[in-house]
Amino acid sequence: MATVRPGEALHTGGLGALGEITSSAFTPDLSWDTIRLAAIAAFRTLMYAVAGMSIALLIGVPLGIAASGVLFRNPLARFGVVVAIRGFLAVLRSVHEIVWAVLFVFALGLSPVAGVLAIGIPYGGILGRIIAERITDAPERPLDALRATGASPFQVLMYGQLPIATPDLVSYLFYRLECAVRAAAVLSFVGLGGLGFRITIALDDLNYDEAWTSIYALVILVAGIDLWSAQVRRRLL
Amino acid sequence: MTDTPSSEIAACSLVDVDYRYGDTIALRCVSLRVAPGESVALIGPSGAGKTTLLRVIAGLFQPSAGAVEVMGRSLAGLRPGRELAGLVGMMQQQLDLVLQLAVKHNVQAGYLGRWGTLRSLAALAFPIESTGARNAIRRVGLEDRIATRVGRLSGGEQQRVALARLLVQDPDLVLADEPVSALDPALADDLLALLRDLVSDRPGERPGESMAPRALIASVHQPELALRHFDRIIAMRSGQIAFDKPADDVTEKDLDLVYSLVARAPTPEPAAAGQ
Repeated sequence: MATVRPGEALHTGGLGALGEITSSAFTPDLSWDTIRLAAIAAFRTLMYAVAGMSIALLIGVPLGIAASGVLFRNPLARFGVVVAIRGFLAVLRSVHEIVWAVLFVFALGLSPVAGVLAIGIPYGGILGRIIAERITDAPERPLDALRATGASPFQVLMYGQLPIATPDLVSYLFYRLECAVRAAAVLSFVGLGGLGFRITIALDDLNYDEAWTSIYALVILVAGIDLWSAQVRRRLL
Repeated sequence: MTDTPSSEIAACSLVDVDYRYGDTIALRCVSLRVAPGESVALIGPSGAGKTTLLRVIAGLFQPSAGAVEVMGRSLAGLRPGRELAGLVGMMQQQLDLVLQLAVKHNVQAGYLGRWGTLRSLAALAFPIESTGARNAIRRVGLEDRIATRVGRLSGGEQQRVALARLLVQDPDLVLADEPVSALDPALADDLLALLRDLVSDRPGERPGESMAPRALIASVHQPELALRHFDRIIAMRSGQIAFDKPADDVTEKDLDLVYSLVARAPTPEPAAAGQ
């Protein structure tokens, strides 16, 4: 095996390319065709992210509620279920979405399903943990007052812990949706289509102007989610 | 307090109740009997045992000695839950409401002991309002805030929400621990009047149905408010009942005795002074 000395690992024309990439940031390709393709790619990336978040919610909400342990009256059962489910959630989220993506591409081929699952599974693990924590952090006094009306643990959850946790959870969900958009863009580098894929193609062709068009589309997407989140939060708080 | 005819069930009766935690004796040999329809104010300096007494009556604390009965039933055998919720309800402080939920949902929570899981879910998800909850909200004067989140209401309005929830829960005995301590004097006056009126006025679920009148026991910090709004005054001092008499018979001297800072010879009047 040849050893690589520091000087040799550098791309000799790197500085020039860097200058070119930087300067084209100010001259993105704004032709109709490029914008149209970037818009379609942005939509696709958003859909991956939304589908991934939907799966994450399907995993995270029930498992998070179970992992909070509030539905179990028997302390032994509660302890067993909480430990088992928290462990399972930890497994889901300790594997990075890119690793999940590689696994699913192996199993399913280059299909959007692979990308969506790669986002949904680790994010489900993260959401489950956050939901469990928000539920167990709810202040006790309103919950005691509900129990005093004769409410069952499930009714206390529906009228107490969940509404109390909702504003925080909604903010967090929007933040996670932003993360999912970035992850979806990154995953499309592995061939799943979307903004990352457009950026890869443009860079391969040394077409920096076009790459910047897609990067700006990504920025607009994230900013749009931020605005939406602010709107929803204003209504909740 | 002499024995009342046994034909009438007491809303609440305590016989020689002690409550200790650690070395502290919070209640010592407390006996009292409250009839349905009576409204009783607990007064006394801080630390006299008013809150402890209310919590023992509510079944939240187990007495160390003595017997507690609500509507003729011993609380010792009842688990907290729907059965207890129909017998005794504690008016909650504003801190005990769910600020993120609308007024109607906080009030409907009073039904949770009687509602099944599906019914309580449906009431959250759909804008259905039970007539009972709507009536209770109207009676506390919050009709126009029915869909407002409780966190956006003022402290006085939140206390009214707590009161409406209690009306919906509809227990035979209503307890209230310092229900007006957080309110300014004018609001406190209004709320106590409302509390007393609503507790004593108990329409049946259906027209023509008559229900046993509710009894009310509230701890009240200011004796003037207690005298103005309640039929009977029970004064606590050092975990014992200092006096127990109709509000009309309470004298300036009685109050001085209870609130004086200098501890006098502990001469709690015998319980017989009550009647």
